[in-house]
Amino acid sequence: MSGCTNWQLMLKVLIPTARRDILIGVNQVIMVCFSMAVISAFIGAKGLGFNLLLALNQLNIGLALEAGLCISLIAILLDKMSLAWANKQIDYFGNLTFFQRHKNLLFFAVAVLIGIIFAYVGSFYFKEGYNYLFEVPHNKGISTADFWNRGVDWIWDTFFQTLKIFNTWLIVDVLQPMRALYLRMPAVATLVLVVGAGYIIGGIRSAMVVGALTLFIALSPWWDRALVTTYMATFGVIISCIIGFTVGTLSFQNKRTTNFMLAVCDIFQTFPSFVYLIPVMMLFGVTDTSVLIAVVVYATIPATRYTIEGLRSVPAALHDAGSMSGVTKIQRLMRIEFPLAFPHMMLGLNQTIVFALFMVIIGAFIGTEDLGQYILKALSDKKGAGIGLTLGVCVAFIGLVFDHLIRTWVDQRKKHLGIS
Amino acid sequence: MELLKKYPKLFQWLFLLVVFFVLCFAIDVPETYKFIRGQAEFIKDPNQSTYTLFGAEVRYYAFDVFWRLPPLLGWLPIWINDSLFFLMNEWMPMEFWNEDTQEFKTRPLVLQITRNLTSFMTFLIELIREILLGGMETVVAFTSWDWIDANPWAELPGLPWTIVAAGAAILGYKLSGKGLAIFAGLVMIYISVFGQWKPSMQTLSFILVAAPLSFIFGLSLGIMAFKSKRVEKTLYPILLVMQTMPQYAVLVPAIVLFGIGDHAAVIITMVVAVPPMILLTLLGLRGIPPEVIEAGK
Repeated sequence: MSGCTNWQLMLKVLIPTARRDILIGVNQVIMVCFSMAVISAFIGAKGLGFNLLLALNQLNIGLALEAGLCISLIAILLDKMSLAWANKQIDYFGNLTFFQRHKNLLFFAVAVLIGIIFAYVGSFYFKEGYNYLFEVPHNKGISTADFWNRGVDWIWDTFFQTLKIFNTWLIVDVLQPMRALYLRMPAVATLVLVVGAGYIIGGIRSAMVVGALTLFIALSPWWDRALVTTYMATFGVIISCIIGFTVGTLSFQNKRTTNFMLAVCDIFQTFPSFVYLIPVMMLFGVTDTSVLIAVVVYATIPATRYTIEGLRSVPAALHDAGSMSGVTKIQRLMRIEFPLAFPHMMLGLNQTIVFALFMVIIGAFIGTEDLGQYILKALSDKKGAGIGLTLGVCVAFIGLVFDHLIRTWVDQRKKHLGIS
Repeated sequence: MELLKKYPKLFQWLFLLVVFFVLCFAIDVPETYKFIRGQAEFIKDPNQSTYTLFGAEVRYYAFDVFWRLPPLLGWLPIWINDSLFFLMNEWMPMEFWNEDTQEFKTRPLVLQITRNLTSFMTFLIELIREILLGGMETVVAFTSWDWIDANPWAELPGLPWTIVAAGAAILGYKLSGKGLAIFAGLVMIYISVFGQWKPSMQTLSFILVAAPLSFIFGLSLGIMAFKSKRVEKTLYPILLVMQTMPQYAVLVPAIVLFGIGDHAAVIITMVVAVPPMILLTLLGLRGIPPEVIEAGK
């Protein structure tokens, strides 16, 4: 109608209209970039990630915590800035003075000038070789590291015995039997179970997809390890879902707590997981418990986030309709909000599984006996590229089996509820 | 029968579970089975069976096929490894001009491509890093080390932290308003006062390269997938696998292809960050009502 060319159509119409999803994409990109900041330190990237790993090697948790907080803060800052940039409406004013038009630029020029003068003066004032107005050196800043280290020591001194009893109980009575059960499954029985579930949920096509993915893992030399990975991921996912759904539902009752909870999710998602891996390891030792606690901390984020967003996606008209029929708060939650939000929450479960798998793999640094341990070994192996890639694909396939089943189920459910 | 008609799914699940448990109890644990600690494929154990496929020897513990399937895909990692090695070191050797030694040098094509990509990434990272922190690598990239030795003044001075903090605050004000300005300023001051300035700026420089590049790649690939069905069909499975693959697994082949350092980190970050961007772009473009497109045309 307006006669756009193809390019104009794309740039001026389609992309601005699709802005909401693209913005979520930008948010994802920034989060992933910062979560890679630490991991890339393994292949020699300089920066906070490297310092963090160094601090952890010295078991200096306070220092690692500070570096980790810096990563989170920069991540949130960049995220907010990119969001603001994308949401910015351009205003057009005709008659502005030169000062009004270039206000920000002028302010920046003044800031540059003042900064340079400060730095220049500083070079005379600070005689001992560090110019604090140019750059505060790494070991000269304020540090709260001692405080945190002492805190961890205190927890260790006070709670160690209690934690040890709990740890022993968990490992002996829950984790070991569960692991033994998983390893007791014959490969054929597992295949039948997975294919059957695929068939019931999505018909022949689903059954074939899911069966092929499982068969790949079964035919690789690491079936046993994959079972151990699955067992840890399952345990982590169950606990995180319970915590995430409860916390999400509770915090949804109030607008302020909702926003607070989402901010907490942001921080934890970018906060490098290695930082809490170490104190947990000090308290629980080199056991599966340590890995699972790290898994739960990390995997609860998407569970909480998607619960909140699922409840949010319930149309307000239905709330009002419910109130008109005189439902109580609990009834509204159980009868209206949960059933309608359930498909969205299941997508959260999907993400929870993926996050849990990631963390189980990172848990190899604590010392697990699963696929992650082999990936870690492949990292330091000259001929490890093939092994690493195949193992990665195996982990991905474990995730994809669940992903496929849940997605198919959610699609059907949404069609059934008429909210697709 | 009534019940069965009312809840068909429930009975299907029950049947499946029964079959599963019957299989579990019917198939005994082999006496020789134990959870193998350590790396079985590197141990020579007389109890292991072997087979050779595509020139790769695979060792494994043989069990009843119902209990554990034999590792018929065991050759795959070895084969991937060999082909990667071949691609990097032997495939298509060509003559390339070398700037440093001023002569032609024979190099495999893939190695040359990855090296060029690497030096480009390194240049971008160093540029941003030296604007923030100061240094001479960028100047060297345009001239040479000899020239730098002759002209000791030629280096980027780097910005004092006060300027960067003020700049961040002003940018925040311009983009959103007072709230973001205060937040940006406080974050920068926190970083500086706690002595994390240098590592933070190093991390920031690598992210300021990786994030825009992944955004651009993700957006354009997403648009391509939206325009053509074929691109989408080939991309989709790769994207799904990439999204669920742990980042560590990508590290290993990346070391082989791109070596070690900031540039490799940027490339890996892009590999990990692009898939969600593509998927979300595609999702957003799909959700556009046809009337909007009509109005535009």
